[in-house]
Amino acid sequence: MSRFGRILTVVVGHSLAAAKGTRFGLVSREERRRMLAVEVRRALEDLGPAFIKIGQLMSVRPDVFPPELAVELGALRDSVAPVDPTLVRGVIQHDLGFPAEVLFSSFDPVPIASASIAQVHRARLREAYRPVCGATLPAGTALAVKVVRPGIEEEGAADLEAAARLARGLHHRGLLRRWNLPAYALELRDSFRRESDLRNEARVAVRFAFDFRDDPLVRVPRVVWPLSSRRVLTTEYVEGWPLSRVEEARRAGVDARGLAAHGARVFMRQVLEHGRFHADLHPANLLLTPDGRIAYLDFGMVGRLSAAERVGVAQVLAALVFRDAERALRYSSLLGLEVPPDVRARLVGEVGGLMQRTLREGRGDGRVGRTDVKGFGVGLLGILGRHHVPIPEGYGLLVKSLVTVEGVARALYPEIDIIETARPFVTRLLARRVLDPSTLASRWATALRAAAVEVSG
Amino acid sequence: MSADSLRALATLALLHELADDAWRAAVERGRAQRPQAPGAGADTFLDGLAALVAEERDRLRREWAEGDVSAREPDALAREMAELRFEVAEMRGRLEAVEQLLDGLRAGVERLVASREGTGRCG
Repeated sequence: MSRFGRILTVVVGHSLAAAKGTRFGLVSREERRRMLAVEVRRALEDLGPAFIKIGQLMSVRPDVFPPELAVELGALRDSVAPVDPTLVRGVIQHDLGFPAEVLFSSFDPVPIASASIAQVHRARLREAYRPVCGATLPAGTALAVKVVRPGIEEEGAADLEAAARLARGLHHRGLLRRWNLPAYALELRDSFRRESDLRNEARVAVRFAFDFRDDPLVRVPRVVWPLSSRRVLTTEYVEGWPLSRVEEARRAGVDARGLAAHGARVFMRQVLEHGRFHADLHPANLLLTPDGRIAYLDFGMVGRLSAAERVGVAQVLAALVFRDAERALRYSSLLGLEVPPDVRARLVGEVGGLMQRTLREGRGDGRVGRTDVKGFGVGLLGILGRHHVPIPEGYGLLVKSLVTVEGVARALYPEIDIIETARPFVTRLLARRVLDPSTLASRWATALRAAAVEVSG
Repeated sequence: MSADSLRALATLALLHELADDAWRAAVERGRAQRPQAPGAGADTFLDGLAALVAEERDRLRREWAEGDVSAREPDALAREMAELRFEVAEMRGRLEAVEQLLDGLRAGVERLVASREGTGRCG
């Protein structure tokens, strides 16, 4: 059977399963959408590594796909059967010119992780190396060598072409036109290419380490550039507990709750100070280290914000803190969200209601009210979708990332309110904005005149 | 008015090149002023301030033109230096990766040549 035929068979199979699961549409709308999302995830898992990666890329685009689907795809477990170590060695030799035995003082052929695009092997550094940030890594340093699965680029390209064909077919027949799937298929192809070139990830990791060089609680594995290429990424190996083993970390004396609160602040700092944020912070990409730090791994997906967009985000977060729907929508325009005037009033009302339901204030008994950013994020994207308000890519990615950060932080600290963690950053950014020379320039004459009147009495 | 505030306004004036007629006239009037008692009026105060800002602006322009960065805030300078050092270090890293790639290519070519020579000898 051709690849296209196989894809079609899987899609049809899971569509039937979804129809059966929803009793042919007799269950509630929410339940129907949730079950459909589960079947889409299962179909992608059945279709193999390239489609799993495609699903993960889709999961960070709630602006394109229904929020329920984006959230479900975020749960795609990125664990596939490892490839033959001989093939992995072949990639290393092809890209770096020498066999693994020559490049490393030792190389473990058994992978420690095997994901859709790449798998990771342990190795040891042959010669001391001075990384971009931090102290020199001595010879013998434990390394993590990430190697792109041989053939995945070709397989991914072929699968994406088949998916694009399917998307064009659906579009041509007038189905799912709202999502403009053919255009999105092209975007996916670019994202896939970008993510399978590990040099991009190396650069983002190095920049992240630099941005947080003053934070003793943040750990980013340092990149060994001479042992890295398009398909090989070598970094130092970081020991730690994944979030699934947080109890072990706690028993070893790690302050998991403190790190959760700190992690939320780190995210706010990424967004509001640096304008670059880790957009794939699922639990497998974080470790709690024995020395009580958070290690960030896998910088394949990153979101970027301009200075103006950062101000927009700060204003929107401030609106969430004060549960002010009108302000949230007004400043969302700085992030590219354009609300047509005829639906504005209705939208403000609906978003206000959503805020009341999900972003609760303190209960007055001294305990912090439990906010539900996930409920708010999914609800907001749903409201915008229902009113056919186009959601800008960056906006959707940010909402999705905020939801993920809340999920991760809650795994360690169930009562955390991540909106509250934004408050000091928002205040600082907005104060800086007010004192910015260009803002002052636009207001200085008025302000001076007022001051002069005060002075001269 | 503190020196810092005056400097901030001067930087503002320099960056935005405030040079409209009203501003120039205010500076001229301010320069011509004699010390007066407080309460001479808002406009007189503004003229005097404009002259002070213009003077500071000219000084700033001279400093910047001469490349004198000593007047810049130490924090800002340290940040710029750290940023620059990072850019250079990152570039070094990427060059190291390219160097490794070239070494690898050379080794590959040498292996190819050696194998061809070996084949030739056998043949």
